[in-house]
Amino acid sequence: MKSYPLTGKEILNSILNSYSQVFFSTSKLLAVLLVLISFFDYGAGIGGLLAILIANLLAWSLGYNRYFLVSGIYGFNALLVGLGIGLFYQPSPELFLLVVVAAVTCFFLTVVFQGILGKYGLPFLSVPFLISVWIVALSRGDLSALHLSERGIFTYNELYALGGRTFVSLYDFLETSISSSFLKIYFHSLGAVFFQTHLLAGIIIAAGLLIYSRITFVLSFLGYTVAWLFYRITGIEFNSLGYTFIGFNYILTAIALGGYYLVPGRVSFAWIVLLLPAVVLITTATQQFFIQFKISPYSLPFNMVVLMFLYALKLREQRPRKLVETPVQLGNPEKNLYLYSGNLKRFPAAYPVSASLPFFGEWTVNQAHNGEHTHKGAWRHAWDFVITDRTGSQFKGSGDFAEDYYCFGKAVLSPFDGVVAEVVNNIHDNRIGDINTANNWGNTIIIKHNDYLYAKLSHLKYQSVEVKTDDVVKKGQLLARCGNSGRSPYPHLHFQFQVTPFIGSATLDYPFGHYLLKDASGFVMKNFEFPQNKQVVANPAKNETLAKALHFIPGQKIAVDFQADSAKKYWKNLGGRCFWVVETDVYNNTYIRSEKDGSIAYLYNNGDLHYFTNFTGKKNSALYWFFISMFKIPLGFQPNSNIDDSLPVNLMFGGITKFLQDFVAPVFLFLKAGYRLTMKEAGDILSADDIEMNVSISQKVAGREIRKIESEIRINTDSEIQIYTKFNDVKISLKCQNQPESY
Amino acid sequence: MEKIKYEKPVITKITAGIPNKFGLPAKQKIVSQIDGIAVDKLMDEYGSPVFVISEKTIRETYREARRAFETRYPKVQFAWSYKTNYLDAVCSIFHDEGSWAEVVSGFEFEKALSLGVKGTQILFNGPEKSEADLTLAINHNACIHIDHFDELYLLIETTRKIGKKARVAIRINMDTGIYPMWDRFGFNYENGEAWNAINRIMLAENLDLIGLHTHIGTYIMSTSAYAVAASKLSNLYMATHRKFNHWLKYIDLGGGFASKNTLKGAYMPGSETCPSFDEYAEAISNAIISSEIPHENLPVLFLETGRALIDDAGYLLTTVLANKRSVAGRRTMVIDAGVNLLFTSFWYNLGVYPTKEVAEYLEDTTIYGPLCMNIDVVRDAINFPHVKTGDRLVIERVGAYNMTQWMQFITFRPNVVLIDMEKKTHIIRKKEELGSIQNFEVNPKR
Repeated sequence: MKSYPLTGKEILNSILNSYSQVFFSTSKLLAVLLVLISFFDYGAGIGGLLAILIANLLAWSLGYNRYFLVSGIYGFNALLVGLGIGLFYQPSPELFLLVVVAAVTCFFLTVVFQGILGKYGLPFLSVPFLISVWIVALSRGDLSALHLSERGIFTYNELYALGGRTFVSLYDFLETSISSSFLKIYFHSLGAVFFQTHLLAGIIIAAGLLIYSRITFVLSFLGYTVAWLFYRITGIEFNSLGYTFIGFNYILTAIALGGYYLVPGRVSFAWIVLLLPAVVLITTATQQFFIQFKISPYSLPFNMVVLMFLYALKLREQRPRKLVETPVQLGNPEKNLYLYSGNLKRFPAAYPVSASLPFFGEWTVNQAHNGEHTHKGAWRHAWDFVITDRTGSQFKGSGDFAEDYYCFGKAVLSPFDGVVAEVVNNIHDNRIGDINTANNWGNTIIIKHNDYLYAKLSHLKYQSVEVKTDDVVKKGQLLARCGNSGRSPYPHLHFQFQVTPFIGSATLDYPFGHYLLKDASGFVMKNFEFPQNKQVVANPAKNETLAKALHFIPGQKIAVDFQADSAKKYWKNLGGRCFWVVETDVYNNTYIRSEKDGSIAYLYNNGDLHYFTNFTGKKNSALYWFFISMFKIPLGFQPNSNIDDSLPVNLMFGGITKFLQDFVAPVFLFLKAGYRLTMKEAGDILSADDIEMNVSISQKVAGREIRKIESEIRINTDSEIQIYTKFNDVKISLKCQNQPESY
Repeated sequence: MEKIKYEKPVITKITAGIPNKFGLPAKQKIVSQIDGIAVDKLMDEYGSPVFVISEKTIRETYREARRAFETRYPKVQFAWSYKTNYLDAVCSIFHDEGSWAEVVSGFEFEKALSLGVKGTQILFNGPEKSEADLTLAINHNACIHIDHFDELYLLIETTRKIGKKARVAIRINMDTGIYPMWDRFGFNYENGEAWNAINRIMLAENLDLIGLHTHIGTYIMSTSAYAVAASKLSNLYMATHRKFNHWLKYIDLGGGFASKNTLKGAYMPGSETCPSFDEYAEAISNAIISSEIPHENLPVLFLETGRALIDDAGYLLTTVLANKRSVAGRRTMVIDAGVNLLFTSFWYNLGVYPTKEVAEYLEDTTIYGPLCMNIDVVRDAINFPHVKTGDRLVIERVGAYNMTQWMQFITFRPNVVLIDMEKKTHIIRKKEELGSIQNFEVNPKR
C-alpha cells in the first residue's frame, strides 16, 4: 500500500492535536501546555508520546483518513493509554513494549468505534482508551516483569527532580495559598485528566482552557461545582472525589455536552445541572462494580452519559430549536455559538429542505400557524393561502360560486423535490359556505421530501390532480389545482409540513426556504421563515448573473486585486495581487482558499441563496473582506429590496471586549454585527445585466454603534466582482476575476 | 319649483310585433363624472371636445391583468404596445407599473428611449424596419422581432457592418382555428417557413435567437385560439432545444385581447361576451405548462396587450351641436367630435351617454361628427334620449388607438387630460393651434 507523504507541519500538528483533542480542542497553545504537563512524569510523558506516534504511524501507513490523522482524532486515545500505563509502571524497556502493544490495540479500537458509532452520528470519545486500559489493568497481575511505579507517593522528591527547589517551593506556595478544598479538588481533577496528581498540572490546564475557550473554562467549573454540591447534599464521602481523581468525569461531561457537541446556550447549561448528578451516581455505582476487578472505571461515566444523551437527542422527531447539535463543528464552543447565533436559520443542517411556495404569483396568507379557525392543536403549524385583489377581496362578482374566487383552479406546485406518497382526487368541491367534515382534508397530495419531512397540500379541486402515488416530482412542478373540497367553506390552499405520510398527521413546525414578503416599499427576502397571517408572499425569480457569478466551482481560480488606503500604515501594506482557489473538503464543504495566506472562507449555495458559513485565517486579508461583504446574497432578488443578517461576533470583534463577551455568550450577546444587503440594479426577467448591491455593516456594543462599514458590490455579466468598502478613513477595493484554466 | 324641461313632441308609428327579447329598454345610463370629477367641470376647464384619461383605471386594469397571469404562470412580462396609445404620460404609467415597451417603428423606438425605457426592454416589432432602425435597435441591444426573410438578410448585413450581435425573435403566423387568419406578418408555422427561419437564424453568426413571437389577430374573442397559438410556439421552442441544445428565453403571444367595446354587427354587447383576463390567462398558461417543456425551463411569457389595458381608461367628452330630422323622418344629431378623433368608431358601436338626467323616451338616432364629409358618422343607429343643443355627452372606452390614429383634418385636435391618482387633472397633450400645423409647412417664396 502506498501511503501519502506528510509534511513536517502535518506531522507536528498530528502530534500536538492529539494532546488538545483530549479537551475537544485543536488549540496549539493548549497542546504545548499539555505536553509540558505530561512530562512532569517522564515515564508517562514518553509513554504518551510513544503511543501517539505508534497510532499515527499506523493511521498513516495503513492509509486512514488524512484529515482525522492530522487533527489528532486517531492519536488522543492512544495518548491517554500511553500516559496511564506509563504512570503506572516504572520506566523500563518492558514498559515501553507494553505501551506499544496497548497503543496498537487502542488504535484499532479507535477505528472500529469510529466506524460503529459514526454510523449513528456519535463521537467515540474515550471508549477505545477505556477498553485498552482495562485490558492492561486486568492483566497486570500476570505482568511480573513490570514494576509498579512509586511515583505519586513521594511528591516532593519528584518535584525536586523536576525543577529543583523552586518547584518545591512553588508547590508549597500553591498548596498553602489555595486553602479551599473545593478549588484544590477542581485543579486535581483537571490534572487527573492527564493522570497528574499535582495541583500545578491542574492550574496549568485551567489556564490553557481559559486561553483556548472561555466557555469551556466556565463549563469545566460549572460541571465540577454541580457535582461537588451533589456530593455534599447527598453525603457521598467527599474524599473519594479527591482521592480517585475521577472528578474529571464531571468536567469532561460538562465540556462535551454544555458547549461542544451541542451549541452552548442557557438550555445546554441547564441540562448540565440536571445531568451531572446522574453522572455522579453512575460514577459511584460503577466504582462499586469495578472494585471487584480492582480496576478504576476511569472515564466510563463520562462516556456513557455523553453517548446516551447525544443519541437520545438524535431521536427527536421535531427539528429542535433548543439544545441543538452543533451543525458544523468548528472545534471551539465560542465559534460554534457565534456562527450559530448569528442566524440559526442560515444553516442548511438545521433545515435540509429549502421549500418554495407551492404556487405562482402573489398569494395572501389567510390563516397562518396557530390560526384563529382550524390551525389549532396538533394541526397548528399550517398555512391557508388565497389570492386577493387590490381591495383585499378573495373573489369577484357575488362570491357565491367557487369560480368567483381568484385562487380557484390556480396551479398548485411541488414545494421541493420528492416522491408522491399519497393522492386523493375524487372528492367533489363544496358549494360556497358548505363544508365536508366527513372528508376533512378533501382532495390531497402528500409528498415525501425525506424520511422525516412530508408536505401536504389539501382542499384541491375535484379531479385536478396530475400526479399519482410514487411519482417523482421536482420543485415547482405542477401537481394539481386549488379547489374547495373537504372542510373548506371557500376555495383556498391548505399547506403543512409533517413527519409522517398520512392524511390527518400532525403538523411539523418547519419553514419555507425562500420567499418574498410584500411590504409597503417593495419586497423583503425571507429565508427559512414562517409567513404570517395576512402577509402577501411570492416566490423569487432567479437572477442569472448572480447565479453564475456566485456558483463557485471546485478548481476555479480567481485573481484578486486588493487595495487598501488609509492614513495608517497597517492598511497600506495589506494591498497586492493574489490568487484564490475554490476547493471542496472531505465533508463536501466548498470553500475559497487564499493561496497567499491560507485563509479559508467556507460557503454554501443551495441554488436559492449564497452565503458564507465561516471564515478562518487572516483578518483584514482580501478574502476576509470578500467574506464580510458577500456574506449573504440571495440568487433571486427584487431590485430595491433588502436582506438582513448578522455576522459572527468572533470575526468582527477582538481583544478584551470579545474576551469578556465569551464568558457570558451562552446567556447573552452584547456584541452585534448587523449585515444588510440592498439590491440596486439586477437586470431584468430576460437578460442578466450588471448587478449593483450595497452592503451596510453596523458593529454595536451593547446597542451602541461603534463602527459602520459601507460596501458597494458590482458584479458584471462576466462574473467579475468588484467591491468598494469604506469605514472610518479606510478605503478598500477588491477586484475579483476568474482566471482561465490555461493561464 | 324647478321648471320642467321642455321636450319637442314626436310622433312615432306604433309597431306591433314580437317584443324585444331582452324585455323593456333599460334605464338610460348617465355618465356625469369621471373618477369623481364632474364632466361639466372638466369641459368648462378644458373645452369641448376633450379626451380624458383615468390613471386609476389604467393601473387597476394593468394590475388585474398581471395578477391573472402571474398567479398562473411563473414568469410573465407585459410590454406596452406603443401604437395603441403612445402619449408620454400614458406610456410612463405603464412603465411605472413595470411594463416594457413594444414598438413597431423607429419613431416609437426613439419615443420609448426618450421616456427612459432601457433598450434591452424594448421589443421591436413590425414589418418596416430600415437599416437605420435596425442599427439603433442593435446598439441598444433591443429584442428585434423579425418579420420576413428580407428583414433577416438586412439584419445579418447590418450586424456585420457594425460588428455587433443582435438579440432576435421571429414573428410567426399560424392557423389557430379563427377567421380571419393573419398570414401577412411573420413566418408561417404550418408550411414550415417558421422552422426554416429558426434554422437559418441559429446558424447565423451574429444573431442570438432568444424568443418566439406571434400575434394571432385583433379583438380575438376565443381564448382557445390563444391556447392553440401557445402550444404551437411551445412545439417550436422544444424543437429548437432538441436540435440546437439551446433554450430560447421567451414566448411572446402578442396582443389582441378584446376590450369591452362592442364590435359593429355584434349581437350582444362586448362587456357581456368578451373573455376576461383570467380566461385568456388560463388558456395560455395551461397550454404552455402542459406542453412538453420541462417546468425548470419554462420560457418567460410576454404579452403585448394594448387595447384591453387602455380602452376603458379613455373618455371623449363632447357637445351636441344640432338636432335634425332626415328626409325620412329619422332623428339625427351633430356633435363636435367626429371620426377625425374617433378612429375606432369605424369598428365599434361606441357607447355614447348623456351627462344629465333625461327623459325615459329613447329614439333611434344617427350621430354625426362635425366634419364636412359624408363619412363622419359616429353612430349609425343608437337608441338615444332627446338632448338639446349645448348638452354634453360622454363617449366611453376610447383609450385605445384613437389618440394615435386620430387625424388633423379640417380642425384641430383637442386637449387630452389625465386624472391622476390624487384626482388632480393635467393636460397631457395640448390642443393644437394654427402654429402647430403651419410650423411644419414651407411656403416657397414667389
